[in-house]
Amino acid sequence: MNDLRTIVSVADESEEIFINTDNDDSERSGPTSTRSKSTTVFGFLAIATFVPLVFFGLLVAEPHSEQQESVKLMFIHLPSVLVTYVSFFCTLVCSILYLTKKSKFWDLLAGASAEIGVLFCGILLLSGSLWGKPTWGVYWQWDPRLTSTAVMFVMYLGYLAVRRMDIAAEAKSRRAAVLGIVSFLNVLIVHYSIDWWRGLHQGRTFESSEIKIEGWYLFSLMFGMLFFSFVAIWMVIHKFRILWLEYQLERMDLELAINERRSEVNDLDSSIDADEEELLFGGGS
Amino acid sequence: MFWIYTIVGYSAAIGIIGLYSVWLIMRGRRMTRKVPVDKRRFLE
Repeated sequence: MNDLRTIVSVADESEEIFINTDNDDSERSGPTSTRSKSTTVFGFLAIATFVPLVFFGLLVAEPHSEQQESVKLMFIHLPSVLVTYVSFFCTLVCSILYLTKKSKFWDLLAGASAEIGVLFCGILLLSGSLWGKPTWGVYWQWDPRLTSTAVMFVMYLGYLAVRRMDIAAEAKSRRAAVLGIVSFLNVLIVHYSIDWWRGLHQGRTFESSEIKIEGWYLFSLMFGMLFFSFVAIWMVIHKFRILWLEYQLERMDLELAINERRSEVNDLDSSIDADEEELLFGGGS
Repeated sequence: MFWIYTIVGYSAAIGIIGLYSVWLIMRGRRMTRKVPVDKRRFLE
């Protein structure tokens, strides 16, 4: 139970949504899934924003004069950029906190947000590629923004691979945390690539001084942002809980192995004691 | 013809999100069953 206490001891109010459970049957037999009140709320919000996204984004918003219908891909492309950035930033912060506080909570949260970030980075690459074909004439171009995004995707896949390495849990968490910090440098390169190098990719849609999108486009985009954000939060909570359960199983296996080893040692000790007694007091013959 | 790319993009994005969500739910249920009840309680 020490590991459980370690996690719970660092839990403050902000962490409760990840580890608190409100399953109805928790009093009787414990929770039967990773569902909680918070996931129910975020799941409902995701569905509530998905319907207007599809309605306004696909049906109400009119085709662009140049990009035609493909402009509607921006309502899923830009939100996936936002979610990817935020997820990887969350991994960075949690990795730093893990290295400073040595709490498993931050390690698991870093892993959960990285996996969700990779998922949305995949959607970002896919939707961007599908937008590029009718607009640029090619699915892929070795443009600085596209190339750095692909590198970012691969780097975080590597991060997830490190988390699955078959080594000691603490060493694995430490290596993953270091990689989580280093990998974020590439997120900055992705973000500023359009400023540093000249390429095919367009500039930012949201500048600090002005927004280059308006009307139904902006309205649909906002629903896209909300839908992707709610889905990502829902996923991170579920993934965190799954990782937490996997950690519990790992600990149980370790405790079992230690207990088995202890019982072996005890058996050995008792047989040695019996032998010594036999030597000291004779074999009873 | 541009709408084909839009439909494929939306279908792929929603499909990926949907499949991953279902996998998360199923994996969560399977893992919860594997862990004993006393260790299943996330905050005690």
